[in-house]
Amino acid sequence: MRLFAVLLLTLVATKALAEPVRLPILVPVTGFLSLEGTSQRNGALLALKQAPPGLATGEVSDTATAPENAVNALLRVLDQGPVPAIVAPMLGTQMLALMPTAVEEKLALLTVSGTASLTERGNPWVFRFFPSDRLAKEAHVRYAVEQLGKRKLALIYQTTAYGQSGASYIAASAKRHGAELLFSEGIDTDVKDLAPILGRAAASGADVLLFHLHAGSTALAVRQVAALGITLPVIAGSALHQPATAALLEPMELKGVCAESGSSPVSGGSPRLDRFLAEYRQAFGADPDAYALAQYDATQMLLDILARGARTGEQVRAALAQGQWDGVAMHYASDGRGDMAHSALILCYDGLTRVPRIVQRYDGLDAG
Amino acid sequence: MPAELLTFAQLVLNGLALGAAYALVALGFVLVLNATGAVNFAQGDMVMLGGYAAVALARALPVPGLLLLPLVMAAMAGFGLLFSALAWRPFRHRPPIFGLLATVALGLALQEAMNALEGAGPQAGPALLGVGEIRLGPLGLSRASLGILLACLGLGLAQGWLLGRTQFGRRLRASAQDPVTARALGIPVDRLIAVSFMLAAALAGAVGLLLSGPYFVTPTSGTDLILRAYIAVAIGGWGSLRGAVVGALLIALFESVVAGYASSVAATAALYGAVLLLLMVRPSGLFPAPLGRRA
Amino acid sequence: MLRLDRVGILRGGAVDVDLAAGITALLGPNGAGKTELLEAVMGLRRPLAGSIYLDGADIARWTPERRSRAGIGWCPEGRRIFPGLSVMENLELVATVGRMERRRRLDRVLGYLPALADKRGAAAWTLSGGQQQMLAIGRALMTAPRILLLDEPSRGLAPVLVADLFALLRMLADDGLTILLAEQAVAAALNIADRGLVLEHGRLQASGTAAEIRTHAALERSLLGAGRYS
Repeated sequence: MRLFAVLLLTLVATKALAEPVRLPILVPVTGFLSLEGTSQRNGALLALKQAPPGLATGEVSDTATAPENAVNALLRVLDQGPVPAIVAPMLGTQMLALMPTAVEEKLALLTVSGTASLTERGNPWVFRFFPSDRLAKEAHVRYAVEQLGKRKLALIYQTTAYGQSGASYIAASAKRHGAELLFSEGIDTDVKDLAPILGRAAASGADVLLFHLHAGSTALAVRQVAALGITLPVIAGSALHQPATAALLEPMELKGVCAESGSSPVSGGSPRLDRFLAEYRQAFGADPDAYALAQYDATQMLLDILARGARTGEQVRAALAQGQWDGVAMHYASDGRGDMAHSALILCYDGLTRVPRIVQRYDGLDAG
Repeated sequence: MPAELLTFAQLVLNGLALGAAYALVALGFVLVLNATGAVNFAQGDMVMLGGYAAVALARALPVPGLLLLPLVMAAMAGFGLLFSALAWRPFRHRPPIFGLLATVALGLALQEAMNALEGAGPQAGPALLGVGEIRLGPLGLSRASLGILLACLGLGLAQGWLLGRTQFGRRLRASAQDPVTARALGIPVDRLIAVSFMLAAALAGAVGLLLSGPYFVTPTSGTDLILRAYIAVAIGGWGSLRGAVVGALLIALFESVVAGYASSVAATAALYGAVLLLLMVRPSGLFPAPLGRRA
Repeated sequence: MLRLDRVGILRGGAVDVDLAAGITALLGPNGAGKTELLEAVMGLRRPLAGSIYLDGADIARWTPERRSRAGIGWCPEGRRIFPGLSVMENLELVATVGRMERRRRLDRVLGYLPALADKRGAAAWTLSGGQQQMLAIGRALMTAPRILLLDEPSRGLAPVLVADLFALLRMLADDGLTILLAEQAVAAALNIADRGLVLEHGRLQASGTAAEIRTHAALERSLLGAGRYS
């Protein structure tokens, strides 16, 4: 009788191990973040494709833009049974909405959202594989101050949540590094004529122009800087590093412009990166951006943890919190709050191609 | 010229170029308004669709935008016919709110469709006549902006002539005012309306191509445009062509100049404030038009 | 020419009419179905029953546009001119013909309605009631009709204008136009009409020459009772 019970238990356990783990991929494939959300999805899917067969199966759900969409998508996932972890949307408001459920259901959220506050709420289930906006803006400002030697900054940011929080990090970072923010102003995403604001920024006495804008506004701003003949150096936010954003502009218009980013897969640089680039292009017929690469790294780390036998949310969480991962983009390890990424890059364009060159790398940004 | 004056002149010039873009959207809106009395909230989304048509064509045919223009316009005219069959015909005997909601719904469907097909990221369309700046003395104007200004002038005059001076235009306005009587007088009202939807869509195609180069196109880019166009039509006088163009130019000038001296956020807030004020002081708009109804 | 075969306008009634040349006055109290009958002929309303024939052809499935092109002219109740258009535009827009023919028709119409010639450029809504009525008739004439349907053209006009109006209708009829005139100004209408029809609750109570109708008992019953034998 006892033997039978042990046999049965073993059978159940093997079956549980043999059954592929469900990996829900909840990302905004439609709506205003669909470009980034699609990158997230592709990165996760590519990692899944390269995983040992039978380990995990991806289930993609579109979270669009509303926070309740993300919550509903997660509840639908959980209707089919518990999952140890999900690829969670990079949209900050959706993450905030998902976090209580993650605690209740004990599942890890792997995201590439930049919204800094996600890891500042003491939620042990959030893991971010992308430099938070706080770190990214630190790199943004340090490049202007340390590498370019500019201490009078002008900032144009978007009046969205993303833009406003980024602007406050830039202001704080400028203060820390002894630079003066002479001009700081927001624009709506529907502003098409940036000449007035660029004109005032240039006339403010600043010696460097920082942008913290979404893709469309970034491209318009870079274009109009070129058209207006503004000669100040320009450091844009991470939107510019996305190949789709650079594609909006003529290489000529990009000449001398720099941008901050977590990584720049199209710039290549290491054999692993080149291999990722080739496989990504082959699978999706498009160029990857830093979000795709970060989510690829995150998913690979998760798959490795699953391959070692972790099946419950608690097991996965512990492994993510204590483990380290040598990713393609960078080295990942939690700082104790779920921030796994601590590096950022500065890229610059030479005016001849749309592929940027990595000019500066900042590691251990949150160490100080 | 003193520096301040020069800055102001440049702001005005930029504002005019952007206003011309808004005006072009408003023209299509007014055309359908004059033909059917219907408020076509999808005009902005048709401009967006025209932009994507231009992007797609430019991918296949790498020639200057000017050569793609007739193709985009023809394709969009065909779409206009489909649009009238879906958003206008089924609701023409219902209260106007039905048609309005149908255009809103169809516009949203277009946005979602383009989002699914092309993604949300901005895409750049073909340049009409190359890229670069044209110097007007000390002032600079991009070729794209010049194209938009010229198109606004040309298409605005053409539409004014079409509506005001041709038999087609007379019949269109009569049909909008009293479709039942127009029918009894032998006017082929349905056909006229179908043609006006085709014209409005072809216009949207032209505008979509013109704007997709300098300002890019996203699935939601029509929303920003229709909002400005709607305000332009409301302050210009409901249905007045001249009013719509003047209204659009005023909106953009206002935005550019306020953004040039205060801030861009202040400009948007001040714009809506000014619109409210204008509608309170002069509820029928700058150029009161025969169509008394508003929606 | 125009024949109505048991055309049901209101529930429970049917009308048989064979429209003769000249002016036929369509009389009856409010709600008798006069407007409905004219609208059925124009194709703006589907009759409850029966058929309408034009030159022997059943026109049940014809659109109003087609009926207009086939020679039925429309001058609706309340005039319904296009207020935002000028006088000239109101006239010119209805002619589906080339520029020369339009010119010819315009000259002819303005010949009948010289007062409109002076107001060419004016916006239609600025015209007086009488002028608006003339414009509505002129507009109908621009379609070069053989049969003109008029609905209550005298309503709201001063008596002196009504006299001018009816004189014009008589002149048009003498020039060969067939007119079906729905009117509540019974006496004035019968003065110029060749024939009369009396409609009540969608039913034809009487038909005959104007003289016969004038003395017909049915007319007295339906209209005198209503106090409208003016």
